[in-house]
Order: sequence, then structure tokens, then C-alpha cells
Amino acid sequence: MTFQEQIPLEPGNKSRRTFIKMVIASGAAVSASAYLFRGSTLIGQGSLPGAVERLMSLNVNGQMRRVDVMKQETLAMTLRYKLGLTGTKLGCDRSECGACTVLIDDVPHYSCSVLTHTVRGKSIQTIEGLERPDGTLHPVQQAIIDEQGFQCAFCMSGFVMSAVGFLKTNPNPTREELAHGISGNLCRCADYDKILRSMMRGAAYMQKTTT
Amino acid sequence: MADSKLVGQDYTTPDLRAKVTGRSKYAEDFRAEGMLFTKLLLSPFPHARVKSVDASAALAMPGVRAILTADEVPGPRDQVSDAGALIKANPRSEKALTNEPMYQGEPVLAVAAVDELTAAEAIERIKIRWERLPHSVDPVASLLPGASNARVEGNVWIRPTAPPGQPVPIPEVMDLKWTQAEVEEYRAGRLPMGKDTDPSWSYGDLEAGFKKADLVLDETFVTPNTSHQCLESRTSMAYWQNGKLFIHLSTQSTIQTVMSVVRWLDMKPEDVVLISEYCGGGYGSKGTGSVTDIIPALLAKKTGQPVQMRVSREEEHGIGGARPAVHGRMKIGLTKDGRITALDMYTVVEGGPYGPGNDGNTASRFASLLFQPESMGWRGMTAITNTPPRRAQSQPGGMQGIVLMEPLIARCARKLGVDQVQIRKINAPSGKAKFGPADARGNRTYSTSCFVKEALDKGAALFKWDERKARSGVRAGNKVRGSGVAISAYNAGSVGFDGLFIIKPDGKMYIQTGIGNLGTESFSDCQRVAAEMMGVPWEKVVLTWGDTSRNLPWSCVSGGSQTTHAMTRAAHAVATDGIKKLQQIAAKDLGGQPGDYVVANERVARRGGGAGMTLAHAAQRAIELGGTYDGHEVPDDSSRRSRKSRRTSRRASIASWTTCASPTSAPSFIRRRSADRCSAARFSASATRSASGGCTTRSTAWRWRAGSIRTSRRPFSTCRRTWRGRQWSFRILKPRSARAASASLRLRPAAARC
Repeated sequence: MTFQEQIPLEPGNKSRRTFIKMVIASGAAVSASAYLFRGSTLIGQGSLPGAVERLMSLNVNGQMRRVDVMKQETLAMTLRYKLGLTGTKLGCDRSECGACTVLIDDVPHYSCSVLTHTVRGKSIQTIEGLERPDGTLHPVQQAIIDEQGFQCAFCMSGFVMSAVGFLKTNPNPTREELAHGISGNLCRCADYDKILRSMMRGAAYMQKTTT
Repeated sequence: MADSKLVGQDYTTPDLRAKVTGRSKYAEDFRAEGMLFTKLLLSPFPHARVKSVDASAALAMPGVRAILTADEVPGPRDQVSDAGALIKANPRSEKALTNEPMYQGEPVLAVAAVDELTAAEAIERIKIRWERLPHSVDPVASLLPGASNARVEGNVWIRPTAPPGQPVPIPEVMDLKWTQAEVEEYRAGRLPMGKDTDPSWSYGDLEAGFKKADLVLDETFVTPNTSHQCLESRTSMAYWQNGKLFIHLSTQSTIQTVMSVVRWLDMKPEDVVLISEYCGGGYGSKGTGSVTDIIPALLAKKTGQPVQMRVSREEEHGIGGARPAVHGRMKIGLTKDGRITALDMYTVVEGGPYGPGNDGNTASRFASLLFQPESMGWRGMTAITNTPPRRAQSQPGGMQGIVLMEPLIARCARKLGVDQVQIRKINAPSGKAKFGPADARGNRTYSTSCFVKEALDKGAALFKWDERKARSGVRAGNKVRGSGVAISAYNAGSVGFDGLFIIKPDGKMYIQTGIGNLGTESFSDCQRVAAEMMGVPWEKVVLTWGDTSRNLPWSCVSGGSQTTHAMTRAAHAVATDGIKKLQQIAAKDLGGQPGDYVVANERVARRGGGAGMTLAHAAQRAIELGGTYDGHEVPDDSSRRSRKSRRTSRRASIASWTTCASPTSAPSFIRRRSADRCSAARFSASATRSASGGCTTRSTAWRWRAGSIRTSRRPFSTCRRTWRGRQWSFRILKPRSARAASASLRLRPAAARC
């Protein structure tokens, strides 16, 4: 079974031929890493009623990424297993722990419970997109380094994305407001005090850089 | 260490930037070319036997590559204990897969397929004929006459004691039921104390102690089972290359986990390369990996392709294990002024299906340590239940000991009219306080130092205990708040581990460590001591960890809060050896005695100024000198594994020093459990800011947290997921409500500010 065979014909005016060409042009990352949701005809994917367009463009961390997506695929799956952005973690895979939090149009979402095809045309930001190309860290990231704010850090990217999203709406929060803002995330190490201290320091750094 | 440059100073650990930018790779983040995916078939019953497996439909599916059954999993091998004694493998211990599942959710077989959905679908198509067996999920109820047992053979473990010099006997199972009189006692709310199967212990004269007492209380308590729920589930990935197994997994310890994998797979340590640079939490349950970690390794061998097993949260509920509940009954006697004269303690550990648990016995030792009863006895047993396997969890046994004892002590204080802080001070250990039973030679274990009384005084002052006490129990609206006090300790520690570092002619110090990186940062913290002693700035230290192909020395198990203590000693020992060798090199080249030279500021130089050489130069000289100086010869007392590391590293490393951290000259790969050190362990090695905050302070109850966040603000889900059979089904939320939710998220904080 090859990759191309599974692409459904687009109902529009594109021919199968041009469509395949487009896929090939879209790069190796798409085809090489699609282990998980190979979208295999093995279990009848692709021909089900209500199928949506499989190949889509995702705006991730400011880059347009072409990716082959199944209709039931979650954003966390796409990011981790097709785009290789493994900084987004899966802790529970059911909207409980928040480890998979990413920003969709600047709003924190549990990416394990967002279907990838629903974020078409939206801007997605993951933990990998916070660092500037010159290596400058986001103030919240820098604050975590300065406070040594986490232990095992499996929850870290979710917390950081929640905090970054929250600080966009409330750049000068009290500790209580911030605690409320990131309360959708769990830390099993129970490092909440240090996490909050880091995030508050991050907020202070952001104030400093904007003023 | 007022003038220390590294120890006691803040620094950024070498793993932190990768963590904060999402570049750190945990077991599930690795991918290999042609990788297959595994799904497990979990037992739907608490206790059953597989009569037959029909996997034909599954194997006929396109994309399904292999099925692995319990028959193909090698049995665990015998081990050699730290003291060099043979421990026969318990045939009733937990295995990766089983034909007689002992709890609901236990893995029975595994399927490898080209993707996860295919593997999950294949699992659905496997037909198993089950024979259901009687089960028991309540350790105490299984002691009632006529109650069903968790194992076919019985309901409790017996742990025969070994005669001196003999191998530890394999634990046996027996069927134990209460007498009618005991049943009546149980019905009256007291745990009958008549039956025990573990080797009991006592000291002092209990009877006289109770006779002397002015107050005798007799209480029954139970502590809860608590699931570990590490945020990173115990995913593993494996492939084989040239006869070697490469395994990525989630573990608290690096080099020690190799030995587990080797035992589970019946392999040689040199044939295993284990990679675990980051671990998403273990809390004791991933001490040296998990037995299910070997499933991908076996499937990879069978298929010739890399295999990954992503463990879901649902699976983690079972195979992740739990802290055992301890059912306890304590009879305590005190004098009028609050001194404990006698403590008779009895515990029943809820042990799950596999192996006797130590949490009851450990709990009793903490009661003995923290409250110093004049006489004390402990008896107990482990009851078998068809519930997930029990594993160590943060302060195993110690936590239960505190939960059993503190309410009792609080009640005693109330009855006697003694202050809660005072009663603990009266009974607190101090100095070289003895605790627990006497050994064969009649000596009791003791703490090397402890300051519980001082801690209580300091705590009472900081918390304004006297003020707080007055407010305790006062009703405010619909709430009553109470204030109390509790004390806690954990004893752990081991010796006989190796340090290993290399100084190369580039002047840098390359430190190798076999310590796991479970988030406590001890893998890095301990090495600060070696760098400090060698006079090397941290910027010139290159730390290698988490990959056993990269020559890691024998290190302790990162569990029981012992790592910083045990491995700082190893770092100290290796640096002591390094300094000695540098002094010798300097004396050879520059004259004088080795003792005339000091190592500081990246140089070895004559005391009080004068001739010297840089460490880079010394490293070059070490290569020329060879022998012990460049690591061709290693101390006899370093462990076998470290020596292997040295052999393989010889080509890569130019000048290396290895030594063993044994505090005595005894052969150190006979690794002895060192004497209990209650507070010494905490204070001796405070190398860095992150040295504290280890395993013992964390005890979040996952379920409670999950429950408590329901009312709070959470990121959005734009679809609702429901678990149907083995797949999620999705319902997309109405766009309008999702939009409204986004809008409210943006607006709420602003509104709150107004």
C-alpha cells in the first residue's frame, strides 16, 4: 500500500494526477512520519461517508505544513506523530491533564481533544514555536530556567502554553488569577508552588520587555 | 563550605533548556524507520485462566505482523542480592504477559502491527476462551471463613526466614482464615491480631510496658491504596542491531534498569543498550523500569522491526501499580506525661497479586524511629488481592506508618491533656537514636544524627503553633478548621557505587553518570561536588547521562530519596582519587612530593605558589604515563559494570580516573545496604538548590486533582470524545458554543479586573 493510493479524489476541479503531484511536492515529513494514522485502507478509512478532505495545510508555529489527516485524527496526534513536534505531550489523551495544551489562534486548547481538520486556516502555536530563531527564549521559558520551575517536566509544555495564552489576555495577573488561568493543567510532581513562581516571574519579564 | 564555588550555589541543570523548549525526548518521542506499534489485550476479569487463543482472524488482517503470548515471555531469572546472596526468582512474580491474569486490566497478549489502529483492531478480533476463577479484592474480607481467595493456592504470603548463609527462600502462598472468635472481633470493628505470617520482631518488655502505662488505647486504622499515575505512562520502544537490544523506556534509574531488563529477558548486560535521558515521573513505580517494558523488545526480535508500545492512561491504571493499603491495629500505652511505654503494632498489607509487600514492616520501623516506644512489637502479613500490582510509592511504608500513628498519637495527647507538639517532642528521637529490631548479633540499627526536637521547636515557632492551636476547631460559617502536627522521616541509603570522569587535553572535565533523570536533578547535582573538588568551572564540565552505550558507571537505584546522598559520596570519592593522581603527575614532572601540590582553578600547582601545570597539560601527561593515569588500570574495588565501561571507553577517553565510592576498603561490588541514616541523608549532600524536593514530598492524589479542576478554567476541547470499545468516537461541539467559550475566555479576566 503506498501513500498516494489513499488520497481521496478531491471533489473539486483538481485531477487525481495534480493532486498527487501536490502531495509529492509537499515534502517527506508528511509521508515518512505517518506511522500512527497511516490512514490505511486496512480498516476502511477514507471511504466512509462524511469523509473530509485528507490533505490539508496547517499553520504551525508560523510555518505552513502540508499534512495528510484522517477525519478522526486529533491535533495532538498530528503534531506529535506527523509533524514530529513531540514537545506537545500526551498525558491522559482525554482532556484531563493538560499536557497537550497548544494555542489555537492564541487561545489554549487541549490538542488531544481537538480534531485536526477543525483547525484549518487557524494559527497553531506549540512549545517549539516559542523560542526565537536566534535562540532567545520566551520570557515564560526563561523564567522557568531561572526558577528551576519543574521536576520531571512532562507537564511543562502544557503549562507553558496555558500560561502564555493566559498572559495574552491578562498580562499583569495576581498569583491567584494566574493559578486560576493555568488550573486546567496537572503536575503529578505537585510542583505547583515553583510553577506559579516561574510563571509570575515570566509575567514580570514580559512586562519589562513591553515597557 | 563558605568558599565553595559550585556546591550550595544556584545553577542551571544541563537538561533544563531542552525541557523548556520541547526538545527533550521521552520514551514515546522516539521514532525508528519501519517501526511497528503494539497494543495489549487486557484481561476483562479480575482472575481467570486462558483456555485457548484463536488469533487467526487477527493474524489474517493486512498490516498485522506478529502476536506475542505469555508462553513466549522468558521467566524472570534468579538474582544476586546486594550482599552477594542468591535470590531465587519467585515463579509467582509479575510477568510481562500472563495466561492467568490476576487483576482486571492485566496484559495477556500483545499484537504488533503497522499502526496503532490496526493493532487495536486485531486485538478486537482475537478470540479467547476464558475459565473464570474465584477472586478477592478485599484483603481483610478474604480472611473471613468461606471467602474466596485471590490465588488458587490461597490468600496470604508466607515468607520463610533463611538460615544464615542460605539463599533467601521463595515466598509461598497459604490459605488463612479467621476463627469464629476473630470474625466476631472483626465485626466489632477491631482487626484481629492473631494471625501473622511475616517474620515478626520486638524489643523491650511489652507486657511490663502496658502495665506501667496510665493510658492504653487500642485502635484499628486503614490507609488507602493510591495509584501512581505518572504523567508519562510506561511507554517503551525497542529494536535489535547486531544481536544487541536497544531499548528506550521510562525509568527512574539508568544503569540499574539494565540489570532488570537483563533479568526479565535472560540476557547479558553487555547486550543491552538502554536509553532514558528523561523520565516523566516515577514516584517509585519506575524504580528500575517496568516488566511490561520488555514486550516491544520481544516483538521486535520476532518481527525484525523496531516496535513501540504506547501505554494509554487506561492501561496505566492497571500496569502502573499502586501504593499498598495497610490495615493496621495499634495498641499503645503511655504514662500520664505522654511518654510511650509500649506499642504493639499489627499490619495487614494489601499486596495485590504479586509477592509479599514490605510496607507494613517499614511502617513499623518508622513508628519505632519517630516515637521511640520503650518497648515495641510488630507482627503482620501480606494478603493477596486481585487488584493492580503494588509498587513502592514515595516514602513506601513510611507514609503508611505516619498515617497509622499520627491520629493515634493525636488522640493520646487529647486524652492525656498534653500539647500535640509536646507529646511528639517527649517521644522524639535524638542523637544516635536506636530503632527497630536487633540484628543477629543483638545490635539495633541507629540513626547517625537526628534533630526532630529542634525541628518541632522551629516549626512551632514558624507556624505560630500556640496562636494556631487556639483557633483550631473553631467554626467559621459552614467550615471548621483544625490544626495539627505530624512528623516524618525516611531512611534509605546505600554505598558501593562508582564515580567516573575523564579530563581530556582540551581541559574539560567529562563526567559520566549512571543516575537516572527523573526530575530530581540528582544526576547533575551530585557531580557538582566532583567539579568543585577538581577546581573545574561548571562551564567546562560535560555531563553524560541516560544512554548506557556511552560508558556509564555503576550507580544507585534512584529511589527512596537516597540518590543525592549515595552518589555525592561516589562523586567525592572519584574526585579524591583524581586529585591524588594529579598530584602524582605533578610531582613526577616538577619534582617534590605529591603532597606538595594542590588542585585548584583548573591547575595542579605547588602549595603556596610556584611551579604547576594546567589540567589540560596534566591530562596530556597522563596519556603518556598510561597505567592507572589514563584508565588502563582501574581500582579492583570498582564494579564490574564500571570496568566494562572503562574498557569500551578507552579509545574515546584519553585520561580517565575511576574509583569506587565505598567508604571502606571492602570489595565494593558487594554492595551493602548502609546503616539507616535518618536525617544525615537529608543534610549531607545539599549540593544544589534542586537537591531537595526529591521524591518524598510529592503525594498528589491524581483523582482528587482531576475532580477539583472540573470547576476551574481549562483549555478547550472542540470535540467530545467517548471511548467505544477500543476506539474513541468523536462528537464535534457546536461551533457557536466553542466560539462563545473562546469569547468568554478572552473576556473573563478583564471582567474580573473590573
